[in-house]
Amino acid sequence: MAKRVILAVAGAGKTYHICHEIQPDKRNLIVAFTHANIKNIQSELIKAYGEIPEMTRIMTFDAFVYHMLIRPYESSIFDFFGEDYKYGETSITLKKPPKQRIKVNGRDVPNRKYKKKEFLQHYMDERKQYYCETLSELAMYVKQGRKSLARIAAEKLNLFFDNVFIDEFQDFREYDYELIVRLSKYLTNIVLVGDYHQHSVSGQNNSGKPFKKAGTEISYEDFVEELQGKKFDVDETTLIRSRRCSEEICSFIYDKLGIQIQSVGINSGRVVRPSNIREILDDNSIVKLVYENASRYSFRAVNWSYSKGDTYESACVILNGPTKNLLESSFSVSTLKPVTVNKLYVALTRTKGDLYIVTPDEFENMKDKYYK
Amino acid sequence: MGYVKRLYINGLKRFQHFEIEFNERLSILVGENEAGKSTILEAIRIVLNQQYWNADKSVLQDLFNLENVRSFQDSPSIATLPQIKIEIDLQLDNTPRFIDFYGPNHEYGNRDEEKYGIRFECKFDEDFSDELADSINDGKIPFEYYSLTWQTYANLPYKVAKRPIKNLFIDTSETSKSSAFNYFNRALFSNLYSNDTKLKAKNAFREKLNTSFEDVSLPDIDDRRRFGIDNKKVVLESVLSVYENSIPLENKGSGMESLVKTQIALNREDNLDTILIEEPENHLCFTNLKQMLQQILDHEQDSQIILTTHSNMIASRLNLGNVIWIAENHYLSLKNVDSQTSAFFEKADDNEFLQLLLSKKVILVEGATEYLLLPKFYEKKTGRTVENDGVSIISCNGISYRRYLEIAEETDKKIAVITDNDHDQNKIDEAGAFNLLNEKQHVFMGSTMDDWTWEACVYNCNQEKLDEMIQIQEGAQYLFHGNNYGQVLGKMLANKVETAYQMLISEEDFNIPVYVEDAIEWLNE
Repeated sequence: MAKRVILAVAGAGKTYHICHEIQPDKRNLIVAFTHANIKNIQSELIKAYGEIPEMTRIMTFDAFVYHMLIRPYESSIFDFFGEDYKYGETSITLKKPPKQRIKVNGRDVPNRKYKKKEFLQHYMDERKQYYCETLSELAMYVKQGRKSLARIAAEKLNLFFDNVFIDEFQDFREYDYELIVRLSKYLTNIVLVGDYHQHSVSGQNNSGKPFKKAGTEISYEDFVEELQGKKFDVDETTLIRSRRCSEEICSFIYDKLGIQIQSVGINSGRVVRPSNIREILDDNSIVKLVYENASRYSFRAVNWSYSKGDTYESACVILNGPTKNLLESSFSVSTLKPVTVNKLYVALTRTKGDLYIVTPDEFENMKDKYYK
Repeated sequence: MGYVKRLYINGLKRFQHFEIEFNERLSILVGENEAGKSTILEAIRIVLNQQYWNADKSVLQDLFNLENVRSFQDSPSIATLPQIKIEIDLQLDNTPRFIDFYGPNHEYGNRDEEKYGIRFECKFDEDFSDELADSINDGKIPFEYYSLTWQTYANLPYKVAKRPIKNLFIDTSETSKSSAFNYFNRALFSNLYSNDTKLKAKNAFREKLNTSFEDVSLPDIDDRRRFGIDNKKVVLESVLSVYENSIPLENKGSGMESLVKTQIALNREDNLDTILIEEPENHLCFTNLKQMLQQILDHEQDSQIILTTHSNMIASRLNLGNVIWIAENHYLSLKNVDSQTSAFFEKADDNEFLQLLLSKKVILVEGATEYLLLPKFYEKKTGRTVENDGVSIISCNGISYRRYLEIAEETDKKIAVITDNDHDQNKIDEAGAFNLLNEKQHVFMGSTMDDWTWEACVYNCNQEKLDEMIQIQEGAQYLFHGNNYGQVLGKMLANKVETAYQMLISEEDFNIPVYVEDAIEWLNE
């Protein structure tokens, strides 16, 4: 029985590690957050074994919850809420469930469409589509006899899988996070892989557990402690070295942001303060990473948060207002919001090669010329 | 390796409710004509292979259970519309892809129990209730508005491409010959090769088709028109045939066909999970049938085989323990038949054990004389023929009647055994005790030492007539096994069948021995 969390740094090769840690003759389940992650995992597996091993299944988290935890037990779910169940089609929707309170004429009032968690309509719209947002809540709330669905499903998963891997673990929030922890309690072998410092960077669902509790941010140390409290072995060493970023870039990040990141030393990129900024901006082999509104520029630009998961030959990070002093010796990371730190960390860790840094003041002068 | 474990049928053809459990390896389905043997094989194919998935809905007319249709017509409403439900429980291993088949979504068996299986449902699509209510209430079944759904027990949609049981159906019945053959060719082709190989073959076929006129200088029709080949009009699967020594199997005669098909199905290296065979004895001569049975036995461990048959020989050759008997909406497995008994029947080629299963009432007799005379006695006693009453007379021909009784033990047929006491008081006592314990099976024999065997009993109650009828030679002793039983009886014992035949063709009215009368009376109670 093994429950493990591997905390990784950017570019350490999380996907690579998962794909090589699985034993191809064992029965493996790999759960990832997005379809893009799944594509990466598939191609990494093909690289490693020539094909996706027959006994290995890969699913997005939503598909996993719907197909393995909800759909097989639908009749119990309907029973539980006292609703009639007829075999038939249900599906899932990205549509948001009705909010508890809404604003009417500027006043904050209770939403009549909102249903409490005691009702099936809290989880499902009138067209029999489950809200993705409440799927995990549903799996934990419903009981069949004395066991929760989550537990029944986990026991079933144990019959079919020797190992369960969950990738990009830091992206799971609130009920999704709780569900993973709950499943882990009953699963024989589970490995969670993620990068604490990349949490809250993706677009959606950035609030709440496990990174915020009662409104305060949870630090890296608190996070590790919480996981240990849930009986996980926390591995902070295996994936602490970045295969992507050079030593110079890693120590720059450590100095400036205080994030433990080391380099394997494969690449030799430098941190560069360009003297001729226009030359860099005009060079399309260098990806420009802007805080927001990448689509407004004529050069090849990507928003900091969208660049998560990407690797570039070389990158130029254009700082924003709050981070403009990054290069000054007086810069202190404590002045930044944690979310901003994480986004900046993502942007700084995208390049295999050189990392160019441009301040907002420098960029301001020539900005107009690059609007589409 | 996977196999089909149980089948539940609701509303298909002759079955209103039916369930059956198959053996892991060999299941031999026997039953009277129309008992539903082929429907069982069809139900498996409907579920596993999504038969009728694409079919015209008018086919449903032939699939619905007639009683269900009748009760709809008696009180037409949406609620009483006929529907079909079929579930199959599978045995699969716990590999990741099979988790999609594992769950609690089945109607039969223990609620909430998770198991492997697939559920098929054919029912009226209630989205159309409002529009069609009037015509339904008039007694019309809206076939076109029925939906057919296949779901796994995990409540996920089932597609034949994901089929967890690789299977092949071998059908030799005359009526379905041409279509059955094509089905077989197609199924074999698609099971035998990888998608890649199949694609290559199809492409090569297409290309050759396109260029097939190139080498003949076919004159144009006129200066703007010419003949060409539209390759969309030909589908490779429809012209595929299996060739053996350059003769297509279709041309080999039905018997050889099924022999070769079975051979192909069994010899595959990546074993099929399940092979369904319908009445293999059709069109097969004795030698070929024996050969086929040997093939089946040789591969017994490789695949699950489910076959239907009418043949005694097949059933006993393939081990009686594998026989599953289908009758009147229930089934009975002979799994528990003692292996000695089974071996016994196997050796005797000419036994009638299937007849035993297929009749409602049975009289078991020792040999040919009883077999000849008993129908006459029966008619005299009851005024009806044995055929009228559905009574089978089976001659045990040297196999102990106990072997027959054992096979029939779990059935609810009435069986009367007519046998001899052979001068043995123990036998008489044992028979009495046996009859006390068994409601459905009784043993009858003469009750005194004088009535020790059939001929003696017949003689004792018809002495005058037989003394007159049987010609004896003056002074001859007519010893039987060294004993002197008197001249007439002695001759009868020495020429049993002849005497019986003589009695049969004479117009005399013979008395019936008391124990035989008792047997006939008991059977008709």
